[in-house]
Amino acid sequence: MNNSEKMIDTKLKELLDELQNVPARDAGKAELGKTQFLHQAASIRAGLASNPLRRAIQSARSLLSPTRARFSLRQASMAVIIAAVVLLGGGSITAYAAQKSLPGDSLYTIKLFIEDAFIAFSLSDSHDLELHLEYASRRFEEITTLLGSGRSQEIESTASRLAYHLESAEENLSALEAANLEIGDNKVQQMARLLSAFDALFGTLDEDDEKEEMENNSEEEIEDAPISDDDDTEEGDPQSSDDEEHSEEPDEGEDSSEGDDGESGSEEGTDEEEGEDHSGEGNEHDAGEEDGCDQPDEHGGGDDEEDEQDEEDSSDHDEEDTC
Amino acid sequence: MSNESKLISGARKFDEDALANIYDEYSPGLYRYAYRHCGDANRAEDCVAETFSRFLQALKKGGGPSKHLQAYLYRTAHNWIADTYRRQPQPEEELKDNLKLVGQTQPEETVEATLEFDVVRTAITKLTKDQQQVIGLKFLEGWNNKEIANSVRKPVGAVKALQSRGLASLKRILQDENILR
Repeated sequence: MNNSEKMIDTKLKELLDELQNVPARDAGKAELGKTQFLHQAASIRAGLASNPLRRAIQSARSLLSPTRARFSLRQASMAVIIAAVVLLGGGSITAYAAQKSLPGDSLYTIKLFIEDAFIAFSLSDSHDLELHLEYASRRFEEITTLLGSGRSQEIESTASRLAYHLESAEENLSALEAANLEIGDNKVQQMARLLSAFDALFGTLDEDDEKEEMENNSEEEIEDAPISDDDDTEEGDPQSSDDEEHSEEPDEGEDSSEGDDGESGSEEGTDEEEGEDHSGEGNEHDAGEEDGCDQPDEHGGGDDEEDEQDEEDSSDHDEEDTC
Repeated sequence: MSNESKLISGARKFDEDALANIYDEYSPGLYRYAYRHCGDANRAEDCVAETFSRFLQALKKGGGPSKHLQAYLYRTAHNWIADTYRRQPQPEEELKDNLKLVGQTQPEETVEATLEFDVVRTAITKLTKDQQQVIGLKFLEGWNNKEIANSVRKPVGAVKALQSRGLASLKRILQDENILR
């Protein structure tokens, strides 16, 4: 690097330093912002407190991602235990009886173990999807039966389990679509029915007044529900997306990446790091020449190409120019 | 349990103290970050408000961060900024107009400083969204590469690449406009 380049870099640094001079924030507005934030939080808290089912779903979802990896291990070990029980005799009868059990019954745990085992041994996303959809349907039937008996404790845990199946199914769908694999129409329809039933159920439990309306609308919701959900997760960040999708983006992304966010994710990162490092530095010159063109749009174009090499896996916004 | 994970688990329960602490801890930095990108106090306040609102909505649905709270909040803020700018593209002339003014001799240093602020800010908005975020976090917020990687959710190597390309582009933009010589 010659002297004039050094001068330029120093000047650039100085210019960037200019941006450090942010005028002091208006204390009144800051306080107002905080009040509004806490107010919004309080109303959400009140909403959750008034609906134990929703709270159960919320906590189930928040537990979902971090526990997934451990869950699989547990499922696998459960599968071994069940296999042993079955082999040692009488198991198949027990397993059959368990299929008919309801949440809260002593055999119900075995029913869930068996389901977990099937999921653990499933080798493809499409089989996973099939299983999760089937089990979600079972949970619905169970909740419907339980609603008649008013066993709220069991309803809560079954609802959590239902949320788990639906979320997993959504993830499987995403994975299948991302890999451009065939997804049967019947699966998509089944998912749509389940999601709309889920909304209808929670609408019903939430506000009894809306019960009929939800049921009347459920036909239409079938069309809507899965499409919007899938768009959010699949396309990453389509240009056409608007605020709403963006407002989903951070959490959706976080959800899906949380599982591998930590160790495996960063290991992967460091593996790539070496290669990318060089390519990054090497590209510095290339980029310079390539982008010699002055139009900001073309900067975007040039960077896109490089970004594709560097960050194939990122679903992000490389194609977006803010210009 | 680190302070951050305490705050996150408190926030998941919508605990008022935890949420108030989160606001006090991160909103000043987010405000500065937003101001540097928007150059406007009201917009910066909007950005902070929207960021925290999205955070609550995410928590309500059981989403939101399980770690790296700060990285999450800055990413959310940056998405808001990028969305806002995409919907209301800046007039193409703005940069050049400002540059002309900076080129002239300004009697008062403060005026020049304000203009330079806008010039650099506008130049940064010409970078790709990822470059903007990386340059902003690195040179304006002083984060290290690992922290930035968590926020932009890319490997550290990709962050370095984005950073060097972003700087190179920024340099060119400013050189083309005769701000850097």
